[in-house]
Amino acid sequence: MGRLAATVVLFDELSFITRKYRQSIYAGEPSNITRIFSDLWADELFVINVSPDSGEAIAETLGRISSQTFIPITYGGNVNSLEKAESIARLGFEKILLETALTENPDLARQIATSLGSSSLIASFSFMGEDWFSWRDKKPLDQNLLLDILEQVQSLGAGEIKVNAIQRDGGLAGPDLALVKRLKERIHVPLVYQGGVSSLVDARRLWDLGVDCVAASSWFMVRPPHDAILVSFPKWGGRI
Amino acid sequence: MQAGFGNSTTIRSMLRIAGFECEEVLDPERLQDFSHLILPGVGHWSRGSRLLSNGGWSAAIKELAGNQVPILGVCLGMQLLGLGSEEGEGSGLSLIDMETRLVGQDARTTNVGWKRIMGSQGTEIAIKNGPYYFTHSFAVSASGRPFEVAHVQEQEEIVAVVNSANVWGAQFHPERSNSNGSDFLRAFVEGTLR
Repeated sequence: MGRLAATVVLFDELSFITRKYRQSIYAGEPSNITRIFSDLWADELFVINVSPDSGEAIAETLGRISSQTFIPITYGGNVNSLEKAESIARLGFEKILLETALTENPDLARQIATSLGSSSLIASFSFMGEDWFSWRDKKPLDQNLLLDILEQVQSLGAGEIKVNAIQRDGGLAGPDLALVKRLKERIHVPLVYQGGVSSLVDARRLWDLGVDCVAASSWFMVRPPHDAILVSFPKWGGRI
Repeated sequence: MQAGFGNSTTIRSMLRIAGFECEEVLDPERLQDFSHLILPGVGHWSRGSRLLSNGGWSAAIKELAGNQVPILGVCLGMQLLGLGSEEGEGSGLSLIDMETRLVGQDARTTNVGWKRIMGSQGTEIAIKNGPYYFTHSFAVSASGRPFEVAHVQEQEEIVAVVNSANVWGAQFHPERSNSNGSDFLRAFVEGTLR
């Protein structure tokens, strides 16, 4: 059994449920949500800021999240310099997630791994179907570069790789197992998967494939049939 | 203390909720004002070692140790209590006679996740077995020496807790180990880890 993580997506200082990474349902004040996940013993939290700012404007929100949450937290979103990474780490985030910088500033991964340690760096890759995708620019990236970048970022020191299946995001229709199988051979560090995970059955299928950490958002925050927001987390396996 | 490389924010938050007064100290000369010292640590050994020596922390911490003040090093902070590390350059505080090495084949290997711990050398320990949250690529290797209090249950080569007199070290992050971590910090402050 691997790790089970909750992801909280921020647009500016507020938390939203997303569908294919587009803003969908308002979910509330982020530190309230992260506090609940902490109280419910989520294994860890990913806080992903999809606003086009660099995180400085929401530093207060991030500080609140960090001081009220006693489980591991990762921050991702517009980290484009070592200074930003270090300031996020000083706020108390264990790990920094890089995505856009992997192609725009590849050396940043090496800088962060050197300064904060490999175990503090997660490299993130998003996919629309089979295609490596820039969710920021809403278009596919150069597929020929994917395997090189994947290998490069691991040799530069990324401690984990996160794979996001955008197509599945918010759908609660199960994970993209084919995507995991395709990439797993090229990944030598712990692998985090997110996209469509709706149950412990889904999570177990991913753990059985060698995924180290399963991350989900809608599963823990949205209740059918009217998409009500209700934050929960499964009790499982002698965790506590 | 905050030398520029650890998560003092969350540790302080956890201690305050447990009812203890604490302060982030930026000036080594102020360390003597306190009853306990926690040395948090995240990041690369070389940077940590350099910040400790350049910032004037090393001498101040050693003096505190000599005065029997309880000291707790967390993650990199624990490793820095030792002599040196394969990860990089610079020496540690040499408060415990231990070295830090790679966890796996290379520096990319990360021991990450929630793990239980067990007493080393078959001893019972007062510390709960967890789970606690670990995230690190370098560790102190188990070798059966007396300062090794506990190791990771399913990875017995990884030392989880060290202790020598008033100096303690935890490889895991108590500030990220939820109520298990909070219990550990409380036990450190109250002197009930042994």
